[in-house]
Amino acid sequence: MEILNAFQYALSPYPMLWILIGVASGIFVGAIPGLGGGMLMALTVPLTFSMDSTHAILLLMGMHVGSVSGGLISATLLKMPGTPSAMMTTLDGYPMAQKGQPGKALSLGIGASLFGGIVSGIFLLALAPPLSSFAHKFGPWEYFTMVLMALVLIASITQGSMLKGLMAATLGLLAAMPGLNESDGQLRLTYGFEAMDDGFNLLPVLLGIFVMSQIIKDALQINKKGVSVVMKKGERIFPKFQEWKKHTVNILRSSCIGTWVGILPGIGASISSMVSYGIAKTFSKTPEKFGTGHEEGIVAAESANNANAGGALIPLITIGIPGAPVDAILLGAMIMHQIQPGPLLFETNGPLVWSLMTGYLVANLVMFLIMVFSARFLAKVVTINRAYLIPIVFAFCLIGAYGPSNRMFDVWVVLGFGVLGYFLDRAKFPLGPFVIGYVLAGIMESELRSGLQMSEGSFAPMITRPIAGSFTVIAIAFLAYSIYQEWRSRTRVSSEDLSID
Amino acid sequence: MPTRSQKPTLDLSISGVLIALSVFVLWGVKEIPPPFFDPIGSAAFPKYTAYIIIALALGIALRASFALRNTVAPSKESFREEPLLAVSVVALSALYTLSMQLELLSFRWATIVFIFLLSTALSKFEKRVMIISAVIGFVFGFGGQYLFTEVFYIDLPQ
Amino acid sequence: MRALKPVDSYDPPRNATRPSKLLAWAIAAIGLALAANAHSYPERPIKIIVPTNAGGEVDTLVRIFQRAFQENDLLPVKTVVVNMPGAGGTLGTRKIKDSRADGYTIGVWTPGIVTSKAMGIAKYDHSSFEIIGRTGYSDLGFGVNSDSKFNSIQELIEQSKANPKSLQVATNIGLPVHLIPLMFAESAGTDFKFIQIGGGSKRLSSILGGHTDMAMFSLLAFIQYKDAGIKPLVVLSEQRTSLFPDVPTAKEIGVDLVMQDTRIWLAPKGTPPERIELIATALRTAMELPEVKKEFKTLGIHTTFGDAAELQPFLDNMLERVTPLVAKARGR
Repeated sequence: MEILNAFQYALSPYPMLWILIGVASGIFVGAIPGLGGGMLMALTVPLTFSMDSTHAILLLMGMHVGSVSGGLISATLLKMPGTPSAMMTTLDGYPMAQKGQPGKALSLGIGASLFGGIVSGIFLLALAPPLSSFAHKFGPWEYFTMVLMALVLIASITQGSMLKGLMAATLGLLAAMPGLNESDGQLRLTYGFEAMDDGFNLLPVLLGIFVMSQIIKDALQINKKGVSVVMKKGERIFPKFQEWKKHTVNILRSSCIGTWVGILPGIGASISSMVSYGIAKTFSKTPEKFGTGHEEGIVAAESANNANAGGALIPLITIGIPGAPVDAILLGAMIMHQIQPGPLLFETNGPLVWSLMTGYLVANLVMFLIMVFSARFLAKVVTINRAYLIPIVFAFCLIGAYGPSNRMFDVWVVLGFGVLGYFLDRAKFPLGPFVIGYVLAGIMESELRSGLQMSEGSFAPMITRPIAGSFTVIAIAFLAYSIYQEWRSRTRVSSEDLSID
Repeated sequence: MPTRSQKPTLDLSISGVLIALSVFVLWGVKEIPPPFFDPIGSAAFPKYTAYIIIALALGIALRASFALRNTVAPSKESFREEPLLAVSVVALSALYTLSMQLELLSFRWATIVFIFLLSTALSKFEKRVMIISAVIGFVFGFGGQYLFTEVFYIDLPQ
Repeated sequence: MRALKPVDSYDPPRNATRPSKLLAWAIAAIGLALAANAHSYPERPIKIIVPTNAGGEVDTLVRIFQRAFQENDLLPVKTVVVNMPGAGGTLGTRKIKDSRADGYTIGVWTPGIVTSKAMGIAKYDHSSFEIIGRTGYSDLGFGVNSDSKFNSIQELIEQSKANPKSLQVATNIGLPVHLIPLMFAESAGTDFKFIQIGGGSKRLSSILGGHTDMAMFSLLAFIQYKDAGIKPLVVLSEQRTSLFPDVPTAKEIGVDLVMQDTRIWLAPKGTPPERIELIATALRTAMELPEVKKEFKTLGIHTTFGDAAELQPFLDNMLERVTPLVAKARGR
C-alpha cells in the first residue's frame, strides 16, 4: 500500500518537477568532461535548505541518476568519460561510434542504463524494508565491525595499489578527527584555534575533494580536448528493444553485479562497471571482440553503473552508511534536513523513504526519456569551454561552503582539501576511499567507544557476537587476501598503478 | 614541454609530507586529556591513525624508491599541461575568499572581479574573451547576490 | 544592575491566557515599540544567530518567530536568521557573545549554554550574556522499551541500587540528556552506566533495538514513537501531565528534580536594556498569537514566556548542580 501511495506521490507534479530538474541537470553535468555528479550534488545541497526535505532528496537523487548516465555521451563521442563511471563505456562505445554507428552506441548505452536502473530499483524496494528491520539488531559492535569491514573492502578493492587505497582511507579518517569529539564532548587537535572547534565539516570537505580538486585539474589540463565523432542527421537513438533479446542474460547479470557492488558499503559505480565488464567478457562467446566496439561491452558497463546507484541507496537507507562515495553527499543532505538515516528511518520518515525508493525508479524512466530525446543536443554541449565554467564553479563552492555555516573558515577548508585532493589524485591515490574514510570515521570511533563502555573495555564482543564476529572475519580475510596480492605484485612499479573513481 | 612521469618522486614527497603531518598530529594528541568517560579516550583514534599513516607512508616511499631505480619511460600526453593556470586558480580563489573575509569587498564586487580575472587568465587575452568574462561576471555577481540572498536566504558578505 | 521594567515583576502564568492580559500586553508591546522607535532602534535588520543547522529544532522555532514578527509587524525591521552550527553550539554562542552589544545581533540557544561550560568546551556560561527571555518549554521524561522488564520507575531504581552501574542509559555526553539523568541518579541515590549513543533518533534506535535500557526524551517523542515501542516511566515536570496521567513525576517518588527543555534568547553582554525589552516584548506578543500557539502545540512546547528574572535562577541552579557532577564523572 505504501508503495502505491509513494508512486502516486513521486508522480505528482512537484516531486516530478524536482526529479526532472535533478535528472536533466545531472545528465548535462555528467556529459561534460571535468564536471561530475558529485560536484553538482555537493554544490546543490546548501541550496536545498529552504526546500521541503523530500523534494530536496528527490532532486539530489535525480542528479545522481542523471550524472551516472550522462557520462556515456562523452565517453562514446569524445573518448572522454564524462564521469569516472563511464570509463568502461569508452572501451567499446567510442570504437563503435568511430565505425560510423554513434547512434547505435548511444542507444545501447541509454537502453542498458534504463534496465540497470530498473533492476536495481526493484532490488531496492524488495530489500530495503526487511534489511531495515534486521538492522535493528545492530548495536555498537555490529556497526564498528561493519565499518571496519567496509574500509578494508574499499581500500583493497580499489584498482591500483592497495597501499595507496589504505592510505587514502586512513587519511580520510584523520581528516575527521579534529574538533569537538562526540564520544566524550572534548575538543581535540584544534591547536588552540577556536575556528577549529568543529573540525572540518562534511560539506566543505566534500566540496574540496569532489569539486575544488577537479577544477584545479581542469585548469591544468585546459588543453585536453577529445577527438569528437560527429553524428549523422536522422540517425536513430531510440533503442530497438525487439533486438535486445540476445542481451537479456548480460543485462540481468550486469545489473545484479552492479546492485550487489552498490550494496557493499563505500564502493562506487566505476568498480561496478569494471567488474561486470570483466565478467561479461569472461562469459562471452566472443571475448576477443571486447574493446573493438562490441555491443555486449557497452551493455555490461552501462547497466552495471546505473544499477550501482540503486544498490548504493540500500545501505544508506537501512543503516545510514553510504553505499558509494557520492552517497556521502545524500547522507550529508539528509542530516542537514534533520533526517537521520538508519534502521529507524522507515518509522521516523516513512513517506520520505518510500518516495525516495519509488522516485529512484521514476528518475530512471525520466533519465531514459531525456537522454533519448536530447542526446543530439548533448553531443554539442560536451565541448563547452571550461575556461568560463571554472570561476563560476568556485563561486558556487564559496556560497556552498559559506552559506550553511556563515564562516569563511569553511571556504578555506574547501581550498585546502581541494589542493590536498589534487595532489592525492595526481599521485594516483584514489579519492573514493578518502571520502568514505572521512564519512565513516565518526561512526567507527563513536560506535567502538560506546561498545567499549558497554563491555567495560573488552574487545571480545568483536568476535563473540555472531553478526559482529562474521564482519570481523570477513574484514580479516579481505585484508589477508589483499596483502597476499600486494606481496605477489611487489615488484610492480608504482607508476603502473591504475586508479579510477 | 612534455610532462615527464614524476610519480616516483611525487610518491616520495607525498610520503614525506604525510609523515610530517602525522608527527604534527602526534604532537597535538599529547594535549588531549586522558580517558574519563570511556575506556580508550579521545587520544587513541588519532594516535593510531597517525601510526598507520606513518607505516603506510614508509611502505609507499619504499616502493617508490625501488621504482626510481628502474627508470620509467616518460608517458606521453597528447596535450600540454598548464601548471601556472592550476596555481592561478588556487591563488585567485584564495584572494577572492580573503577579500570577503577581511570585508574589503562585498560578495557582488568580489565575484565580478574574480570571474573576470580568472576566466580571462584561463582563455586568451583577447577582446572577445574579456567581454564575455565581464558579462558572466556581472550576471553572476548581481544575479547571484539576488538569487542567493532573496531566494535561498543565504547571508552573503555585504 | 539592569533597569527594572514593570515587566520584570510580572509572574508569567503557566496555563492562564486571559484575554484581558493578552490585550494589555499587545498594547504594551505597541507602546514600547513606538517608544523605542523614538530612540531610532532598530533601524537595520536584526540578526538572530542560531547555533544549529537550518531545519534543526531550535531553527524551526526561531523561524516561527521570524514569520510572526514579519506578518504582524511586531518589529519595525526585518530579522535575518544566521545558522552557525557546530561544536555543540559553541561556535554560534561564541559568535553571539563576541558580537557588538548594539541589539542588532541576538541569538537563541538551549540550557546547553550551561552544560558546555561545565564540560569545559566553552569558557563562558549564561552570565556572559544578557538574557532576553525564554520562549516556552517542553516537558521531559525518562523512558524504556515497551517490552522492558521495568514497569515503573521504582522497580528500575531498586534494581539499579541493588546492582549499581548495571542499568545502561543511552546518552549524548555533556548535554542535558546526559547531565539530567546524572542529577536524577545522584538524587535517587543510585548510579547508572552511561553509554554514549548520540542524538535523539540514535537514542531511540538504541532503546528499540534493546542495546541500552533507558534514555531521556521530550514528551513529544513519547507520543510520536509510542507505536514504535517506547514508554515513559517518569516525567520531570511539576505536575503529572495530562498526556500520560499514569506516569508519576520525579517529585512524587522523592527525587527533587524538575527540569524542562527551553529555548533561551540571548544578547551580547552590555546590550542596552531598553533594546532587550523591545525584543522581549515582541517575543511575548508573538507567543500570544493563535497561529504561533498552534505551531507550538504540534511541537509539544508550552507557550509561556519566561523573562530573565525567572530564567536566571534556573540556569544558576543548573550550573551549580551540574559542575560538581561533571567533575565527579571525570574524576573516576
